[in-house]
Amino acid sequence: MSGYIRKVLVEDRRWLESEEFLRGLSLAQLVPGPNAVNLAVFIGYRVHGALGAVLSVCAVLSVPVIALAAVAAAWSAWGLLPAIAGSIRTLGAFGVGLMAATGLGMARAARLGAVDLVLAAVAFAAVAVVHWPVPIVLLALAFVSVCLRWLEPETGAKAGT
Amino acid sequence: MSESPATVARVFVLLSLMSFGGGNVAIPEIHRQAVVVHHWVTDRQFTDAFALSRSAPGPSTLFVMLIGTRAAGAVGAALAVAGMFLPGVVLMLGASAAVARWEGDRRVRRAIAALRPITIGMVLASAAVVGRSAVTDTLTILVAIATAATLFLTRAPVLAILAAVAAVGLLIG
Repeated sequence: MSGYIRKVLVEDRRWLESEEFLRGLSLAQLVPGPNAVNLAVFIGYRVHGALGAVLSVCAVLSVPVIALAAVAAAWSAWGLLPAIAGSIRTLGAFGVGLMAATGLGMARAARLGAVDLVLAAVAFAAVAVVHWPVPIVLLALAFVSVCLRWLEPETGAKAGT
Repeated sequence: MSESPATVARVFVLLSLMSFGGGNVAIPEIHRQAVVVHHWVTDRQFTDAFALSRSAPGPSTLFVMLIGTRAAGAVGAALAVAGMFLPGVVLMLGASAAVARWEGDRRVRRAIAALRPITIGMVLASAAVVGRSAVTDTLTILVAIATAATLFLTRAPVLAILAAVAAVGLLIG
């Protein structure tokens, strides 16, 4: 879902810069809870403060809640709907393609340096290849990356900070 | 099967608070709580509920609504959704306000910039992890690659691609 949000808000409507989106998604991942909802809070807050955040969460959840309530009613009445079983398979693959395009799109826009590329590769490998738990990988790499950035000397600015 | 509303609320608030990294992170623990510990749903019902939530719009974690319904009816559904989503919303509101207030600070700017590569790596890793179970045969491989390539390289609208993919699934899935 974050992928869809990025596509619409950053690439189509241009309400947000890619940089701003990436910042929001980084925070959304670090704060517990589903990313898409956390991201809606961040974007809503940017646009219209706390009220914007609350409205944005309600908006992002209202249609899905109604849609899923309908599905849930059908589910308890008739069991799993056989008609949609076929499209669940291709929709799953669609979701994978969307996530891949989102990651690649953010990497293209962020113009990562060498250290960043290594960190991104380690994050990917730790979760996708070695199957370490996401919370541990996330917190450990965030710690390492933030320390590296803080130790880095200021470029193009006055010394002595 | 009627669980006390307080138990439903407590279980989902705790699940929410442990989902660092996104809702998908909590799914194994949601499974353990709902199927093994509290017997709100069977293993099969859990899998079906998750598959259904993926076919409906919105965050996949919303399937806790279906689990809540099985546990304690409409009240259970409302509490499961509120328990799963509200703690993150409150924390995120605090984080957004803090960032807005201190973004002029060099250390804060750098710390946030430092999170970017990890976020990108994690998004690509989710694609790979979900791909392992969702992309298994020629049809799904073609759909995943076509979707990724179209979205990365063109400005085609997502909903058009989604509709096309759903139609392909109904016809030949």
